[in-house]
Amino acid sequence: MKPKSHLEAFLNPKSVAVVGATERPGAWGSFIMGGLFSTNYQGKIYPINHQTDRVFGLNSYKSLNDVDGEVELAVLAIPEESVEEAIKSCCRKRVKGITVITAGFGETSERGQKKQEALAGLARSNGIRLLGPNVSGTFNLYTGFNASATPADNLLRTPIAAVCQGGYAFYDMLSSGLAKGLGAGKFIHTGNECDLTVTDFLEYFGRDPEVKSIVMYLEAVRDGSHFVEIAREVSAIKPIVVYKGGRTSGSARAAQSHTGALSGKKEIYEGLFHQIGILNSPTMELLLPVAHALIERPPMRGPRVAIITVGGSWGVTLTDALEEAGLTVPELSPKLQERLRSAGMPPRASTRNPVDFGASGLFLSLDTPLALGSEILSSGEVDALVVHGIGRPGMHAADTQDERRIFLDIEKQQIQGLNDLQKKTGLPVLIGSHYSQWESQAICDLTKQGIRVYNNLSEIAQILAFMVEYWRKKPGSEIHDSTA
Amino acid sequence: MKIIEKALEEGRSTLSEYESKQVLSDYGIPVTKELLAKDLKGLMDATREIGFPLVLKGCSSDIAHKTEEGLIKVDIRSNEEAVSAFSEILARMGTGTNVLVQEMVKGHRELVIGLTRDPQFGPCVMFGLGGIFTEILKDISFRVAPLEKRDALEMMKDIKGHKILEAVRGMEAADLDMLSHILIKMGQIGLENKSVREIDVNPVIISGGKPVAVDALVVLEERKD
Repeated sequence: MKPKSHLEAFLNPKSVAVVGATERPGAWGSFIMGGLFSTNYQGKIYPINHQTDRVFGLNSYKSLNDVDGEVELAVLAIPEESVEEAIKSCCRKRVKGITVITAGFGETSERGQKKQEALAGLARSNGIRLLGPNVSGTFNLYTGFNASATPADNLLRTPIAAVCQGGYAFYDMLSSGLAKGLGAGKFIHTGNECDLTVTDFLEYFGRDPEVKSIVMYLEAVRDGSHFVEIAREVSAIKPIVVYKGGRTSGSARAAQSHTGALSGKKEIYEGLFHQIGILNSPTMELLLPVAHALIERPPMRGPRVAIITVGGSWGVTLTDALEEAGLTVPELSPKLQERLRSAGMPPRASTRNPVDFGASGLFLSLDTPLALGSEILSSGEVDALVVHGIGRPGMHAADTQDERRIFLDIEKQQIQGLNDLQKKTGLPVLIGSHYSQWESQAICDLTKQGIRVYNNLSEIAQILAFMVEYWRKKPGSEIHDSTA
Repeated sequence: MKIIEKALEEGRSTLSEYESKQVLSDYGIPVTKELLAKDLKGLMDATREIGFPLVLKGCSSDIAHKTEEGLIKVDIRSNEEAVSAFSEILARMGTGTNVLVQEMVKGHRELVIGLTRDPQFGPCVMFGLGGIFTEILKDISFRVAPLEKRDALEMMKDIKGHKILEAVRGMEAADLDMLSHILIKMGQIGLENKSVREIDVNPVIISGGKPVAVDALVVLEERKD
């Protein structure tokens, strides 16, 4: 058995059969067909449906064995009682992989659990790997393969791979992420894991050169020591960000000692993730933003953050958020503050950090914000810069006054310039605004240009904190003392 | 290990404090100097051997948590006090009991170190703030065995109260090398002894910067006969 080539079947099959393919709206058999058609998939699609000859314009077959050519992957979207027969059929057809969408197995009952184990055994004895049951599918936007319920136009191809034990909430995140430039280019939903587990795909994506980071939604690890071994290896080469679900349902079994009583699942997983170098996200929503930041931005070598704001209280609240996340907002040295004054900050405006640009009254200057940002980032006193408080409310229309348009252009140029400092200086620069891209023309335009604008202070703080944690463990990092 | 085998044969599910500390000691974990005394002669031998001040504890594999029972007498400074304390304990527990005569370790900082067996990940080592606040604060961290030194050092930093290990309030910094060694060895005990289910070492007192296990409880897996 060559595990790698069989896992390929779930991400890059040359041929796929959808057992239970149908045009009936609302059926999984039609969702999967929709997914397959939504990309430029070059392989062969074989609908299997014992009631009809055509599904969505393709010839359909009464059974898998009626198909002439090879079938690498079979996706089963059929009732539970038909699954066993379908798997036997897959064995006769010698497929490489089977995705069992069908639910109602191990997650519902002991009997269901035994059933799915038997099915896995049946498949494996024929050299076939099984994904599921109880999954929503898989996709790989690099090969144009999408056998999942989410059409590809809702998905963004990125070098991030997602390996999830739950799928549905994840699709929500992927779809809503599109407009924000967030996404996963490859996706595996492992469900009940009667055969393939998250560990198998963690290993696979660890070896995949197209994948630069892996995000995971985990509820329970079923192959503990194997998971630890693989996760350790993979986390050493690319960032892994996990959300571990089911935290508060601590399963401290009846124990005779305090240690036993205190060892709830949550604490053990927290310690474990630390130990093997996995980043433990406090929320689902942070998974993609953190993964993107780790692969897109330069390293953050220490916890010191400088803030440039328009509006003093954004500086205060952002400082609170950053320091509560374990970062520091150090006061800039007198010499640096002098240089900022020379760069154009008037005496009444604070240069201590946060640096309140708004108080400087220099809204229309193009050079000054850039000069400030450059001075701060090249000073050696900070490890990252956050710019916040930008954007004015409202979208522009045909009759928007000229002054607003002019102001919009200037503001966009200012932000572009500051954003570009990340590449110029090799230090992370994050742009934040209270306004989303649907509320402010400036934010809308900047986002379309590919500049990330964060709408949430604690998200900014968490991203920076994870960057510090991740880069701290990389060999060769110089750690800047927060008291330097 | 012989101690463990013997207890299992006797159908016991826990080791006494004395036995538990012998297991720790066999793995190079520093424990209090102590001896068991069954009678006054034994008591006198022990006080002579160990010196003062002392702690006397009623020792039995049935008593997991002794303070509630009033079976501990601390700060014994003379043979007279020892005899008096000894008699009180026997009066409570009945004759035929062993009394553990133990050096009294002085130190303000109490830690807890433990071992548990996770069904997925196997033996896991616990570290945290100990003493009476353990269950109240739950300021603890875990690592899966086997531990490396790096894991031990990191898990000690993970707890909120980690600064207590530094040179604070006029006390010496705690010996992190020794603490790391203890944490690593705890993991080893779990890996090498499948019949050990859980271990509580609480408190580990930092005395003069050095950690000493002052109380210990080893819980065994029930024999599935």
